[in-house]
Amino acid sequence: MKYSTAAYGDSMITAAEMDVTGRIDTRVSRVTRTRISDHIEVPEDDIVLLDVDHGGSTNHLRHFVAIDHENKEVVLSIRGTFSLSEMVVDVAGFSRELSAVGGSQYIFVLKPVYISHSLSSLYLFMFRVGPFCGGEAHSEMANMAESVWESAGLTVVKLLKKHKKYGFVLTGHSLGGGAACLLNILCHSNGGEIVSGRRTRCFAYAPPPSFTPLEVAANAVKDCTAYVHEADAIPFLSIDSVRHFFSSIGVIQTYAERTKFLPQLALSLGFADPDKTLLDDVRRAATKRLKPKAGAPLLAIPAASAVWMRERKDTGKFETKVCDPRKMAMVPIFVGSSNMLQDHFPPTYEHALHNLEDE
Amino acid sequence: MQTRHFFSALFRCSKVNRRRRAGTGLGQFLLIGMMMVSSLSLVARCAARDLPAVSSRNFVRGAISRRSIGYVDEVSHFAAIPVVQRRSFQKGGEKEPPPRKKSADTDSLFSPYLKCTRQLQRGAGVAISSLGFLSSSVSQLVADRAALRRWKPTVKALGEFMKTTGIDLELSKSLNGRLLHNIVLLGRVQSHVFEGKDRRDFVLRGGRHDIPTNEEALRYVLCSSSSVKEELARAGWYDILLTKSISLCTDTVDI
Repeated sequence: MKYSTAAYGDSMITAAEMDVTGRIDTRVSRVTRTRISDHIEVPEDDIVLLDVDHGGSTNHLRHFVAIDHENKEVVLSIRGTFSLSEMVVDVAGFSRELSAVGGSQYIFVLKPVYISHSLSSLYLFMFRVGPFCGGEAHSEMANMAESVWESAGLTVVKLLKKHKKYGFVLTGHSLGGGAACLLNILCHSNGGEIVSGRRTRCFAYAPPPSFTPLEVAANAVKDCTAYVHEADAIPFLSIDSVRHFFSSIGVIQTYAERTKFLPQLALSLGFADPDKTLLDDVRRAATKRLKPKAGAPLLAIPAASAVWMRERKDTGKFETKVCDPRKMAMVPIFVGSSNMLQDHFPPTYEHALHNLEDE
Repeated sequence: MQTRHFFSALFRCSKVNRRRRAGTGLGQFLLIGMMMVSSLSLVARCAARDLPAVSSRNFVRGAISRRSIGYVDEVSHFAAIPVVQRRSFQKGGEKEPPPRKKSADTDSLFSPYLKCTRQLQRGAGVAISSLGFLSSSVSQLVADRAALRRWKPTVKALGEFMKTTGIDLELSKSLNGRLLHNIVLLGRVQSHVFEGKDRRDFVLRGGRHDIPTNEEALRYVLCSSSSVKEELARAGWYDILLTKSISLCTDTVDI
């Protein structure tokens, strides 16, 4: 029977095992490695570290490290929200002052596990102490960025030491993008000490706002580019923007209290247009800045540019505009599109980037 | 009294069988998911007249031995359809020919078809992504429920933060039974505010800017979606496959 079940493939085997034992095998399978290798067009052997198990540690985000010999890059890719615990990371959006790595403000601790690993890889493990140039970051995302580095840093450093001319690329989607941006800041601090001064670049897809002020990490910001797909709402989500969103909802609620149900229904179904007073009130609520609260500053995506892609209805190709993340931080959350969540998924990003108009 | 006995018996029964039933339920959930994915895969392949480069022959043999195989080699379903090798790193493998340019006329001719296929593409992608998220969450709940306890302090800290800053009061004014309706209304109003306008024009970046090439952007988005494990990599594949199918149809018209 096992042979018969196996002929159906991976999912059927998982279903059968679940039925029999009540447990799910969440280990990385050879299939996963092969599929990832095929997807990123890098040989399997060059995926040096693979931590994408469903049942992996919740102390850090899932990630993998690959070496791209063709483009001479070591790539660290961080996974975004894909489980309940990662949703908690997203929601814990209050800020904390981000610690720096290295320098006089930091304590260096020799970690025995690394010493036992090999004498040549004596690794300085950094604990956070004190603020980083006054920067504030999304609390849990910053923790996750540091934890990912704790998990993958040693491998990355070893690879960079082995391949002297290779650069380092950080990438991720959604929460992974936000964590990659913050890790990019850490990698740039103190002249890129933790990555042996190698050039570090970051490609963040749909990252939420995660850092402020951007001026304190000018070098890191310069080497980071964010990508935003059409109506995706996540790159605009922070506690500050949620406060502004609810301020607009308050205006709508006032309108709803003084208007009869039928006109409201007609408006919500698209059979009637909003009156000018309502339009003005919503516009005013969206542009009026609320007083920032401690722990909920105006966070921005720590990137020099945000490439905002939009589909041309006539050709199906995507045209881009280069936007300023600082200005984007003040853009109200837009709920006027039914694609606001759909446009956030990685396949839609891949589709957009596959169909970009010529440069 | 009898009712009470009935419920207590039912409760005992459910307690005894809870693990078994949970396993069966999840097994069925995965099975249905697999059938959906498999069906979508076949639809995509039929439409594309193509097979993905991830030809299972590369790894099925080894994987079956570990009782963990990927795609069953579906060449058996489509024996006459050639396998396209896409992987550029495969030395000696034939590279794909450059895509043919499509004329604007054929695009307009196929405009309704393109729209329909795009919707199908999006639907398939979103369905698979959502399914992946659900299966991942369920896996975590079943495999490592203790891990969720790690987040208790974080959730508590968030609650305290909201309370001390007064943000909970700010938000609670609008958190009521009408919230969903109010969001729909706000969406309608926002659509009017931005009607005919491009939201990007309000946040354009001035001056000179160096952004990576399209090729680089695409290369690393592949890395990002790959780290979301195979479900999304697969979803990305449908997207590419269906795009190929469109170009194939329009190419045929060109000829």
